Amino acid sequence: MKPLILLAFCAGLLAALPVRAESPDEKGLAIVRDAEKRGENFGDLRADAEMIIRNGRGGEARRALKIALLDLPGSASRSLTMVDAPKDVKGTALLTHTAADSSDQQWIYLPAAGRTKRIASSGRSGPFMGSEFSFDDFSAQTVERYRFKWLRAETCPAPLAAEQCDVIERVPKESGTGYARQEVWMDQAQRRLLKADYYDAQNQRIKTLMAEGYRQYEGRYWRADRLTMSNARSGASTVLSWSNIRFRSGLKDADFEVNRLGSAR
Amino acid sequence: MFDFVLGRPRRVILLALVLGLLCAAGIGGLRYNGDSRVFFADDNPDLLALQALEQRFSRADTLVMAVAPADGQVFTVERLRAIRQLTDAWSHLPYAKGASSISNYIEARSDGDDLLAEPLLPDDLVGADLAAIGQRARADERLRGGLLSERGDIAGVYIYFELPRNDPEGELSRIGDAVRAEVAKVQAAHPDLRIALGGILMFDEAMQQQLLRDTSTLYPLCFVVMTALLYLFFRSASATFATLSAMVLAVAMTFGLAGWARLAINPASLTAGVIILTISIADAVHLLTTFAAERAVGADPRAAMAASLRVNGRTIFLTTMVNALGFLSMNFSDSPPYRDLGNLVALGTILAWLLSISFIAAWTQLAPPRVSPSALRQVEIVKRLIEWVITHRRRVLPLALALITALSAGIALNRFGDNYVEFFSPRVQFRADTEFINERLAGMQFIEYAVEAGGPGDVFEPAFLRHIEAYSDWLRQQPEVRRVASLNDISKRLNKAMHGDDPTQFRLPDSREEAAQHLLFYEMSLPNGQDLTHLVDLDKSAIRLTVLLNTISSSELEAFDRRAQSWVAQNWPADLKARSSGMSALFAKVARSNFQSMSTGMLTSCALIAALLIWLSRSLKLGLISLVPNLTPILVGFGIWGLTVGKMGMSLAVVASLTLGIVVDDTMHVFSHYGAARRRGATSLEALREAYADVGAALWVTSATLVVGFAVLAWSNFMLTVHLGLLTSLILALALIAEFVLTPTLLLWLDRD
Repeated sequence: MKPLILLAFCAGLLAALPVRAESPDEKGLAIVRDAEKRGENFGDLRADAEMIIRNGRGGEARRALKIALLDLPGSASRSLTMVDAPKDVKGTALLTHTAADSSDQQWIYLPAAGRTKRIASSGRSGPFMGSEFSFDDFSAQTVERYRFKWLRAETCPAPLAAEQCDVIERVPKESGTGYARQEVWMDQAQRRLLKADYYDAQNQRIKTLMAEGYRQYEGRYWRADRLTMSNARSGASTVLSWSNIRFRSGLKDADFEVNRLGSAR
Repeated sequence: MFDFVLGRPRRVILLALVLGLLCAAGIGGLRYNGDSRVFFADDNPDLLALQALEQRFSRADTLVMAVAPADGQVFTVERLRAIRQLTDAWSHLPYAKGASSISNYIEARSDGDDLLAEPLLPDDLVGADLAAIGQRARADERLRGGLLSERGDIAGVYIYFELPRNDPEGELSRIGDAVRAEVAKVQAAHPDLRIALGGILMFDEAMQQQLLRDTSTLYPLCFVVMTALLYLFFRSASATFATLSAMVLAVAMTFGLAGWARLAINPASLTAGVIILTISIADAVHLLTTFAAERAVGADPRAAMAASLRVNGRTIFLTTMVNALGFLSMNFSDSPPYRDLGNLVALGTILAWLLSISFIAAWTQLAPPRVSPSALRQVEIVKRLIEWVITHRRRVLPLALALITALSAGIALNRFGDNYVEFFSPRVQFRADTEFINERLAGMQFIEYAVEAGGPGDVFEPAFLRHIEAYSDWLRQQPEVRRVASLNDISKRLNKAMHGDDPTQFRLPDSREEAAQHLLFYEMSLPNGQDLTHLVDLDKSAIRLTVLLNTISSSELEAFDRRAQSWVAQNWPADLKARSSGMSALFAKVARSNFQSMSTGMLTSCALIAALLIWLSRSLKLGLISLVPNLTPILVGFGIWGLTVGKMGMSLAVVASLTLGIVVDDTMHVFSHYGAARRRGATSLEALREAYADVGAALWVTSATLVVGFAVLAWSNFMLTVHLGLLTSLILALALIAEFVLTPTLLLWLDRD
């Protein structure tokens, strides 16, 4: 599971891990595994999302989406994204199947032609509907795809400045992601992703993700209401707001079948 | 004041040095502006149009690499690997935000009943059917004349950068170095590839390199030439040293003050130093010539310098002010670097004048130079020349006037316009590479049109798309056009792929929903580093049409744009507009607008100078006569330029103002002496002989210095500077001739008793 934008949802029942002598790499991985564990087995989830995209030069556009997620055993998951706005592409649906080995497949349903098409994997790291988020941010981001390293502990970024955070470095194992590494802030108490800085190969910051408005659902799962991705160079930014978050609404594997993509939902 | 200078020379020199070094310390604060847009004023309407376009779409700081295999075979495993390596390099190049080439090109096609938008090249090149891929690529109209040459024998790799522009100088060098290192790596592994680098970013980088080169070649060259000339004239190490020290100090102070003011320099304004060095020597020459003459008749150093300051003080003050006035009128230019150049030179000449009457005057008290009597021999030559002109004046004057008329007619042959590629001499790699790319891969000259469709999503309206298509079709039929690129290329291609690659379906979709959804699908398939923001704006309410052109002159480009605009006016509904912009269009128009705005500056300074000459000679008639030898060299100079070179770039717009200020010097020296003699009751012939005996030699020396000094600029690789130097040099040489041919004959003809 865990698209990055949902990783910001991470939740927890467990207390912080017992402290022992471990390398920064081990410590980083342990924290992330802990976070993953806290978010596991949420069953299914539906939510509405709105993206306000600003290109940093005065241009602004809005996208509205409906998202459905199904958590399956292991790393496997299903996700379905339906476009509500802009109206020319309303009804367009994106389906992602992530297998247990974290490989994934994606399809798009085009309502005007009434056809479903596969999407090449090359598109995963590209921008999603003109936003600062990548398609990748919306699809599976399993722990296996990164190397981690615990960097330091410090106070969390505002507005959670009262809390202590772990800062963890995340380096993608594959190339073509558009960044060389990330620095991720997670609070120690709940292991929620609060902030992520993206760096290029020259170690220049290119993007920053901020997650705000965390709320707990089902007495367990934390979800942020607002995610803001800002581009440090172009001044562009995208604000992604979640609303109407519903857990365990009874979605089944069959709801995420490719040949059912066209049916209205 | 002069008593203090001559009485306490040590203190004066120390004071000058301390003040000079204080000013010069600012040099460290000089910034460099390598942006190609530095040549345009902030309120230039074409620049505003371009900025508006970039506001809607993305600003592309693009770097083009043309990868040319010796045998023209692009589609082999080895060559494609090299292209892939260069393309993928973007992810570790500084400030890069993406790249496109055939290596990451997403091809839309159908496979059986399925629509595919997949990479043209598979990850595994060895197992792929490269011949078939090559065939598809060569047939793909979106690749031709861009990512792949028309003949399919050269591939283009385009890398897009987004510069923070906090430290343009450092950013540009970092990109340049990183790109060259990457190219060297690929070149080492594939010695049979030629990789040419072009694009606006390379232009900026080339400008920066030429700035460094100019600093390290023009300045030393100018210094050596000036030393040689001064020594030749003075035959005195002391006089040469004092003059050079003062002038170098003036240049250092000028750039130091510019640094304190946080001015950004570029290759155009950098030439200020050479010009200051050249122009300011005149003051010292006049001062030291009189000083030597006084010494020769037995005066002590203090009396000799006091006499020299008395004789020359007013004239060198006035000539300095007139020079500065000419340079300041360069502020009428539309190009900020030339305004900076004018202001820097004006400041420098005033500083040099101050140093002449303080530093040099004081120096003569400490180490009185022994100036050789060679100056006297030169006076003899001048005297004989003037006598010859006077004797033959009835033949000389008509001949001169006929020549002036004939040569001035050449002005009409000049054509306005700058082509940014031709800013650099053919010796510069950037120019060779860009010409190669332009000829073999893709047109480097282009016009861009931004077309507003109305509201969000309206670019998908079939009626709008059909208007764009009709315009594109018309554009493609024009002889100047090589290629038209717009969103329609993708739309048509997707529609065809959607319908089983049926060639009859290579057309626009029927509904806006289809068009929008096809495009969304295609966008979703694009890899990181590629997007469509350069073709369509964020809320899909406007599109950008890029028209790549053959190499055409600026006036042809302007004519083409006018034709295109009138097609739009006739064939499109009134609410649909295609606003043209782009760097080529900007450079095409800037020279003409520079000349137009500079003509105001020229007339202003002309009027002021005429008024000054009238006042100086205390005679309306003399003042008006004196305009002739001042203006004809400029007319004849531009005429000869039209007959020989014929191209007028923006740098030449300032030449008239620049030279007018300098040419007037000579006339002022002659006329002030002539006028004085006339007022004492001398006949015009006597007054003429006296004036030339007084200043004739100094005229030769200062003019020779100026002609040679400006000619030094021809050693630049920056053609704007080369042309500025050559034309100025030519006009100043003509001015000297005019001073010895026109002035005496005109005076004898018109100022009779």
